[in-house]
Amino acid sequence: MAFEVALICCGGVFIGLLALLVFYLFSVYNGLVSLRNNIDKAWANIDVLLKQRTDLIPNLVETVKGYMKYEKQVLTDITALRTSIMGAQGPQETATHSEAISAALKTIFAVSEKYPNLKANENFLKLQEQLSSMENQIADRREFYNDAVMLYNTRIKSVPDSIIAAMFHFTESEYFKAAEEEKKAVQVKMGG
Amino acid sequence: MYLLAAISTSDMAYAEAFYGLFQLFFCLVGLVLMYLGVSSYLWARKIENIPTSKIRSIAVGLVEVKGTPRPAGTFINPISKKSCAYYNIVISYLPGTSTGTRWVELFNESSPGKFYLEDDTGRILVQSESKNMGVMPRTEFEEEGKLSPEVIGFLNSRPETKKGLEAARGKRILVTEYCLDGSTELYVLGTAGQLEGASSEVHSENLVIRRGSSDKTFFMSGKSEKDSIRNSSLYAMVFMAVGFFIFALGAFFAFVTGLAIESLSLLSRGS
Repeated sequence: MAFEVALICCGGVFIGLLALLVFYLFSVYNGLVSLRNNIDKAWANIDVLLKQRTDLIPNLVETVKGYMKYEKQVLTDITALRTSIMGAQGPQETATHSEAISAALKTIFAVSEKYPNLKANENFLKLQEQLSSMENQIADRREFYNDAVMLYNTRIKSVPDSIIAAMFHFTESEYFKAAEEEKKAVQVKMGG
Repeated sequence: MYLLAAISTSDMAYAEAFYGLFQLFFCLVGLVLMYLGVSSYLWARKIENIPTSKIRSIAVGLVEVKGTPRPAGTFINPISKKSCAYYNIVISYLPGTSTGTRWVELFNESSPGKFYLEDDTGRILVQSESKNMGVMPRTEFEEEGKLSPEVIGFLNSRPETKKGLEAARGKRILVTEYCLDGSTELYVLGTAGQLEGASSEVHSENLVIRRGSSDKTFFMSGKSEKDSIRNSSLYAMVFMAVGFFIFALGAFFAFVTGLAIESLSLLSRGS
């Protein structure tokens, strides 16, 4: 009888410890899933803005082309970038093209200062305002996305989460950040 | 002591039942504490896992934002006349010793729970709930016998307090003012959703942060995110450790008393 009682008590404590361990492993796994979902959601939130911005580019080109006759290259560049961003794969490639579009937009808005008639065009002003607001939002969401990626990448590399991450193939996520070499390549291509 | 008492009555069944309940109680308390620890742990992880959004570009869904509260209207705290994003006034009195020494609430008034949260990029409406308002700084003052003109003026403007004031006449009165103002840096975790009827050109002004319908999370704190995570993690560790200790203690008692009861029953059979 004493042996049985001892067995039950030790068994109880052992089961308690085991339950805690199982719970911990589940929570690590669920935490990683939730972090990965955060990244997907953050990416979707950037993607929607990038698409909206891409949709506005033809309107902008259409509006400015009548005025900026001597800046054809900038307009050709931005149209080409619009096409390339639509085919971009993954956050890093998208970021490279997105940054190039941002730079091209900045150039268009800077050059527009030379054209008073364009500056007075209501449609252009509205587009400029919309695009500037989108640029700010993209910058914020990019920061949010990169924070989400940093949290996830840190967790999958920290012990003991890294063990669960390796077991269930949680791989590192890409930051929404242009690779320097790609950035240079895009600039060279657009410049000449 | 109880064991000896139980032995002296030679009622083993009674002793077994008594100690069974005693151990069960220990184990249950241990389990409840462990559950609280687990909840705190999950909560800390939840806060940790959500990055902070900038208000300007906030997306619909579960969000975490930090900022300064601003009034969504004109809310002047009626006693101190301070402008607050949210206020709550509680007036209580201390009844006579025969009825106890606990403060009895006489009056409780709050401004509507909506206020703006502002960061360096924009502002968003927050629909809070009174139970989240523990983060507000509070001012307390006690009044005995003669009430100050500010409090009298305020109570006169609220005729419903007349009856309660009769009961509180000559007693100690405690006036507590809570005021959420711009000096409190707030951390808010909740669901951002469409604000009914809003059609602003500014994206964030068409949204409201509140308790979501699917994710019921809503949390507000005057502490920083780091402190909230550290506190929850600490609670989690303490609850889990103490809970497990109590649970193990219950199991140990079961073991020891089981042995004792069995030895006694063997002894009684032998004699």
